[in-house]
Amino acid sequence: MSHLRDLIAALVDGELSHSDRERALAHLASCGTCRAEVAGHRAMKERLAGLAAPPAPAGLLAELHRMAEPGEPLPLTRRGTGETTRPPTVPVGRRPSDRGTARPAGRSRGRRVRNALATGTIAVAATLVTAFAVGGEPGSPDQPVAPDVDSYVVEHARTSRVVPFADVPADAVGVSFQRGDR
Amino acid sequence: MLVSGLVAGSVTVLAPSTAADIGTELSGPGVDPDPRPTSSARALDLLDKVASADDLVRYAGVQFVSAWGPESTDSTLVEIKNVPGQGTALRVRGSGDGPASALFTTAPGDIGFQLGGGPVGLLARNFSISTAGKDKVAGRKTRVLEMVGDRDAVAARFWIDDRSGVLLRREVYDASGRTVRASAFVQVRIGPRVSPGHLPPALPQAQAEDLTASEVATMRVSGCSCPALLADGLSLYQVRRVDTSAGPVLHLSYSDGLSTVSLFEQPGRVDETSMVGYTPTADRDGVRYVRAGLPQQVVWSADGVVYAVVADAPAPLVDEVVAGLPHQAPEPDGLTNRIGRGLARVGSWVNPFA
Repeated sequence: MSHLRDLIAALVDGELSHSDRERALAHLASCGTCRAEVAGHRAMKERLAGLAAPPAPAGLLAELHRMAEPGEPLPLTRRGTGETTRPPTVPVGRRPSDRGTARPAGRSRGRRVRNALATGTIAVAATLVTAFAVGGEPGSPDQPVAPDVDSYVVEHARTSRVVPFADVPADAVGVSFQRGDR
Repeated sequence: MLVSGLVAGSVTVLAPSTAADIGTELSGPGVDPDPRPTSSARALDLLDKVASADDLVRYAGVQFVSAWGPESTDSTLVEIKNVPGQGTALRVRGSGDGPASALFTTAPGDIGFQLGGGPVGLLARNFSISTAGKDKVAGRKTRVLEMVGDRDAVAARFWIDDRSGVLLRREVYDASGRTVRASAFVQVRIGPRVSPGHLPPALPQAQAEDLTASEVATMRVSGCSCPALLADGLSLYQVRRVDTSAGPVLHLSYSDGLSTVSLFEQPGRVDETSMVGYTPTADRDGVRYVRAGLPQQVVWSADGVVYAVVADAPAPLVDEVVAGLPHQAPEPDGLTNRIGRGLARVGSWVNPFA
């Protein structure tokens, strides 16, 4: 198998199929270059995961609360100056159409409905896209851990006094037990 | 009673106040280990003698150790040197580098663990023990002890040096009577002529501390399972917190007197790219990473916890232990599931208590 290259990101993200993952892990066992690349990817992913979210602008919550209150439209804010200008008010008893600059009421209502529909559609789409992105990795969102099993084996031996061993060459020993039924 | 001496010795491992609360009534001054009434007094006396031998007798030798697994057999030679008051040094001969081949030393006073199966008190409680004649091991006269389990099947035999009480040979059998673990001295020197006076330095120990009963109780309340029994026969006898390269880990030790199982728990999920050398096994309970040998190792994660079982036990018993612990079925993938997972995660950011 040549180097994993494009598969490394998918491997770190847990997006490989079972068989592809097994092949990739088998390759990693014998390829130091790819192991180093995997370690780099994993470190970068952990660093990205650790970045703090950008802070919300000051006053955003208050603005949102005000938007939810019934009453006149919000004052427009001039970017950078902090100055506010109120929209022109309509004197009681006078129809908006009496003013030369006002638009017809029916057309304005239709635009508001369309704007609301568009805003709603965009919000739903944004939510679904966010959910799609966030929900990409099946399984627990918890921090990946490389368990230190070698230490576990030593600690097990220390507390149970069972000597651990593995991978002993067959010719390393010159005696054998005769296994049989008791 | 003689066997109660063994139990008093095991207090060095488990604080008396801890024992009953974490699951086993093994330890504590004056607590009777409740050996099986079917055990013979002569056999229990012999068991007491072998359990205290390491604190009284100097010996050194080479032991041949074999473990039979479902697919392979592992064997090796182990050099053993015991100095009363200092401890026992063990070194695996013929294997490569790494912790598995390193020398480690058990502390003096760990009476009750000399038989390689956890606390001796558990052995007396779980098996009927009787004498079964005489034999020879490494040219020395021995007496044979036989351990019989619930199904009237012989679960193990010990060959004990007639003169000193040193355990010279040990065999453990599975339910069908086949040998699954065996160890025996092929060379041994026993007595004051054994040199040297000091043991070699031990493997650096991980930072570890035993937990008290109240700490274990707190952990159980906060979600740690800390089961008192595994596979309906292995009793919890020790709980420790161990610092490893991957952070602090909870270490729970279980035994029935012959088989030992360590359960390690830490928060997170298994990073599969780190499990090189393990065989991944997937089924409806998710993916487990398995390494056969002595000890057998099984690693998996479920519900935000990484579990690792390290066991010196017959394979069917290890399977039973693993099956009885928490598992998390793999989530099906697909557009709807992916969006559903994402909505749930975004929801958990807004309200982590939901």
